Amino acid sequence: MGDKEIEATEKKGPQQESVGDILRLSMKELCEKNNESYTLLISKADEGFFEEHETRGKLNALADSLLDTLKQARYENEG
Amino acid sequence: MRVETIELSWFRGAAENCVLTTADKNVVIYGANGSGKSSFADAIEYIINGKIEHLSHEYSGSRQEKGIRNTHAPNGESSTIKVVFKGNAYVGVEITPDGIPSFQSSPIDLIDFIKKEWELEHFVLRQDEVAAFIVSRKGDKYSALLPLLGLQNLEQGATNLHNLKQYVSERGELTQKETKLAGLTREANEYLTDLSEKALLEILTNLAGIYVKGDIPSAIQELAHRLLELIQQRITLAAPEIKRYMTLEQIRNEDLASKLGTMNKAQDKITEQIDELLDHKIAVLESASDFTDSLDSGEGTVECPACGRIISTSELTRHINEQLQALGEIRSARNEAKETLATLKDSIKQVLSKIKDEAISTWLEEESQSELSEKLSQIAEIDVSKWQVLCPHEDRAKLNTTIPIIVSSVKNALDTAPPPISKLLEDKKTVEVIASVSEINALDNEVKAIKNIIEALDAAEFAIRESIKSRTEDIIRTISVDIQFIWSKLHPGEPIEDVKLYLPEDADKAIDIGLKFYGVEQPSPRITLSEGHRNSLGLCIFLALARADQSKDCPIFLDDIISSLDREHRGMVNNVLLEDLTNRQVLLFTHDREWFQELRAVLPHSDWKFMVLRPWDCPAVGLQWSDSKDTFDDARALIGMNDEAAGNRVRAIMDMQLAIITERLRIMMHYARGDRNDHRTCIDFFPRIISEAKERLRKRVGESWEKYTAPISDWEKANRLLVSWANRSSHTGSLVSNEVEQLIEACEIALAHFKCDACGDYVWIADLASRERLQCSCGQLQWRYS
Repeated sequence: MGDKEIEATEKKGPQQESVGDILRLSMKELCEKNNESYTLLISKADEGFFEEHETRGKLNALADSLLDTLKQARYENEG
Repeated sequence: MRVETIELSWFRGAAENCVLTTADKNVVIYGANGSGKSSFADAIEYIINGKIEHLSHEYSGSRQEKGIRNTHAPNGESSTIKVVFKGNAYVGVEITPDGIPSFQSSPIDLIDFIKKEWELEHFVLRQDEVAAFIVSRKGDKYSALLPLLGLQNLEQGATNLHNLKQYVSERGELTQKETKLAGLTREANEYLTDLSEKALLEILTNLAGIYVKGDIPSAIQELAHRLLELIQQRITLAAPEIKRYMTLEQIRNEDLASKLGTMNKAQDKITEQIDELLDHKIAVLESASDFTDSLDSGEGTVECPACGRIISTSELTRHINEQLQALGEIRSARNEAKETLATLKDSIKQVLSKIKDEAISTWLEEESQSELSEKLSQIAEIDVSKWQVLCPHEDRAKLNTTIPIIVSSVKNALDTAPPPISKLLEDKKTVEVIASVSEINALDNEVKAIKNIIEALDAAEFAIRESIKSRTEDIIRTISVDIQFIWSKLHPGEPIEDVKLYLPEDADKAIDIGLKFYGVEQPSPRITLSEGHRNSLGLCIFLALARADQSKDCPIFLDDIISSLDREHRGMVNNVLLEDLTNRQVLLFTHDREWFQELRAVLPHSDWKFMVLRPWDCPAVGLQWSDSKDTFDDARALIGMNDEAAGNRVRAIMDMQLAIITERLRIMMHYARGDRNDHRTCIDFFPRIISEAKERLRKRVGESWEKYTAPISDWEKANRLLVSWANRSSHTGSLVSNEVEQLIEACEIALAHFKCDACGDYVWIADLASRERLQCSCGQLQWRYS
């Protein structure tokens, strides 16, 4: 996810921001520290995942996916 | 979407096939208490929610089937609701006798659309709900407004992110990892002052010097692993060796050399003194013999056996005492020798016992320990049990040659002993702690990474909530403008102002209502407003929200909403209905006859339809529409049962109707002081109306308007009957049924004359700015002032 998308989001007025837009703008730090986690969250937001009531099971699955990105990052660092 | 008809069958107060037809207008429906008018609001609620909130109690049945169904519905007959909209779209439901609903609609998805999009609270207002919003908690206010704010997606987003944060923490075992990290870090800081790689490597290298033979690995983890292996091996192997050296230490602690020395001294001492003791014993015996002889011979001296001097017999006692003293010293020495011998004997026994231990005996078999082993064997050959006071000379000789060697050998063995087990364990712990430092680093990185995600989710949730807050503020600002506008219409000039919705600072997901009460800011209307004002405010908020929700385009249902308003404020509601709800279809239900008539007088019949429900008869008959809009059916219902009451009812209706008419037509009335002004009756009004009508009432004939006197005779007839019969019913109670019927008929005819035959509107409906005249909507009927 690049600066261009963030820039485009910033140009939208606050009244037009979707959940995905707000995530893009508020999670810039995560984008730098862990791009995979960031990408996963943004893609989910763009699918509309967060805007509907989600069951505990689905949120747990997303949590596991986020934690998997950390493991992947560790493996890459150790490698 | 505008309602064309609402059709009810065996539903609530409706019997078979009761239809409310709007003719695409707003509707005002009058019905006395118990006439069944709320059945229509109930029907709408059931369509939207599948249940009726005020029937949610234990007596209604699990599906509310006992409350929903008309009590006199035929067996097996279903209850039905059908709402037909303009354009012939409809939604409906058939409810079986046991309460199972079956919804239908055309188009087929309309029912789902309505159920999802129409928020009942935003378009149906009931009497007991008018102030519900005001008295609800601020969180509930927020929830009630959330659909209107259009922010459900953001609100859901914030909730999902909040939950996701918790699940990431749980699934990532963050708390456990933080606890473990803290423990490892604390332990590392306790054992190690410097956690740098250089310092750790130095410690390991020093330990490697003790334990590692051969090449020493340079990497910390590899070296630590190697050291742990070796130290553990040493711990495992050290057990028997440790035991041996512990035993040798015990042998050393017997201090054989010291005890041997002490024994030697004591033995030497006693040997000299025993020789002297023998001489003394002999001399004492001889002296005693001589003493006996001399005593017998009478001589006064004897030879001292100790020193040989000739001493007198009188000095003998002294001499004996001196000798006894010397003997006592010898005795002490003898005892000392005995004790030291015993002590040494015990130690030797201990040593000989300990060397029988497997750890020692095996070691003594080693060649390096041959001398020690030999010396110990020599000692073992000594029979110490014979020792009493003196140690035999040959035993002493043997001890003096063996014990020093034994002591020396033991000392040498102990000097070359390996590190004690405690040192091994300490070294092991040190290495383990050093090895854990890398785990600490890895764990720390993991915890930080999880926290990064959680912090990002937290930031996102916060940002969403800020966005919600910002948008909410914008929306409620707009709604507040409407609330204030409507409030100022209902309460013009009153010192309760600046009514608004606001977001409390101390709570999320909360909205509350503020206002100024006589210039003082109030955070809630519950503090100072009366019940009537709270209900009025509730109405304002509902109407403001309805206006804000224009996109939904659903009709507004107002069910007996002015019960707590006084006449003055009720009149203000008329203006709001007339002016501020023009974009929505309104269906208004009331049991207030006077207000119904006021509305009939104010609201244009081109846009508004007025309907009257007959008084309730029985469930089998159900809801019935009256042909008369003047509510005389309330009086008709009493004919035959109570004619006087019927007459009084007619009188009351006419009092009210003519009061409205007098006001609308601006009829000049003579001044009456005090309460008499408010207590005028139809008998006061009618003559004045008739008098002015003769001059002012005009009807269009061609292009001109001529005096319209046709109604005058009907009005005069009605007035006469009111004066005679209505008064008689109230004063003497002697009215009969046909008189009531005639009275009603005359009054209905009289009232009808105030409406235009063509457009159906009252003559005053168009109050022209010139104030020269009033007229109906089409202008056919006029009331001229000049």
